[in-house]
Amino acid sequence: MTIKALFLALTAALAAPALSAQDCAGFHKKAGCSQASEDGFIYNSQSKSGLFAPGTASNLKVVFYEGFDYSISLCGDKAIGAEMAFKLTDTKTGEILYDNATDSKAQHMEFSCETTRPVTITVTVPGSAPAGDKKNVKPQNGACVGVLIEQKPSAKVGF
Amino acid sequence: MKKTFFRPLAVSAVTALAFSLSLSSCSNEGESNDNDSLPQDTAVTQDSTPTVQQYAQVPSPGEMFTFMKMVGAQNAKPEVLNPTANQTKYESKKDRAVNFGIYSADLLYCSTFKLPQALKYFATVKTMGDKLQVTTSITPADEDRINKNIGNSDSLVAVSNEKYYAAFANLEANQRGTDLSLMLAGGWVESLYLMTTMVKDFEKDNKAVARIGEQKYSLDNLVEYMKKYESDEDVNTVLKQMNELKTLFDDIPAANDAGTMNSKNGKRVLGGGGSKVTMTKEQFERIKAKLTEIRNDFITV
Repeated sequence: MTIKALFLALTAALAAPALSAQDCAGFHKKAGCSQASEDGFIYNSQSKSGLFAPGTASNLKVVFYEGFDYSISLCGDKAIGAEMAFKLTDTKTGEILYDNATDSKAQHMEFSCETTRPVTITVTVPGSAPAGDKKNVKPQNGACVGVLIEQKPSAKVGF
Repeated sequence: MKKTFFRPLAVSAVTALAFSLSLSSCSNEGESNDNDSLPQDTAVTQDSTPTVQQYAQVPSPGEMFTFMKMVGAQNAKPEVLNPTANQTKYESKKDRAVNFGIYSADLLYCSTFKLPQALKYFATVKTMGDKLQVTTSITPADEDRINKNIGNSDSLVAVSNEKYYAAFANLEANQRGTDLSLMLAGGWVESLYLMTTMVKDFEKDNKAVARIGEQKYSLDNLVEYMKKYESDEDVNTVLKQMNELKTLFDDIPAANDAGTMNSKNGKRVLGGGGSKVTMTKEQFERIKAKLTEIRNDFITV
């Protein structure tokens, strides 16, 4: 490669746009993120998007309320590639309530809530964590991930 | 030849360097403004295990009022709201941020329970948003929608929620975590205060009381969220008040055994925990008194 070509390649690489956390804001609201199985589900404000580096995880502490059905959909940038891992744990006891590793790595799940519980949703992006400073995701290493939570009142059954 | 070769390369190199530096400064903006960035709690682990960031989420006022509506709570009345006339008194950033949250909750209360004051509170939320320099995305067309849908709770709630989420997203995207903390605290306190005003008979309104008791979990999350910004004096002041309230909620026993996710009729069901959150009348009265004290402190200048 000539010096000129090398220099131009370096310039292009330096000038390439990189993602910032702000770019990911509202990612979970993008069309196609919701995989709710039926109509009637509406947006739940505990949803969140963020910038993730490969191999990193995020805990989202939420509360699910008695009398509601919930739909949880994951959506990620194409850069992520493989499916994300996610599980639900009881925030107080640490009991694992759901793990998509035992559900064919599903990127969506739904359930009906019969008892109000604080729950932690853990999402892990596949890959190896970058070396060095783990506290801050460098824009060039990151990809957007959205956790969309939707809810609707549970159907009443019986007389 | 060399001169011709190096000049365009030099220009592109300088341009690329400048562009990269500007990106870097944008991504580091949150770090340089420590009080306003969105800090992330990260556990530094060994290379083989994923690093974990933690976020604590809080339900919106609209969601909290939906709980009350679902259990048939009535007695919604405009006299309990923060009078819109008070908006002119809020000059400090803290008062504006907290009361932006309070008025947002008042708007959602009016929308959920079909009070005609919705339009007035809509205008107040817009004004407070402007003062706080928060994009509420409220347009004249929205005011028209509110006007036309005064009797239609679902439409009113949809519009009001839309604006609440827009403000939330705007503060979050601009890394104004301090202001967002205060807005969340104001909205949460006002919502819970209004919920307590709907309990007229502790025994008869036991379902509504249970919904109020369940907010101990969302309060835990609110306090956790605010702790990230406690270095800010205003947030620290409000956080202390939230912790006083939390002490009362911590007295309420909740289910200690683990939740379960089972299958019922082909559907997943989250249940478990032998007992639900229950509180005594005395506990309820103490919480209501503390809430009222904090809320009145917020709205009185």
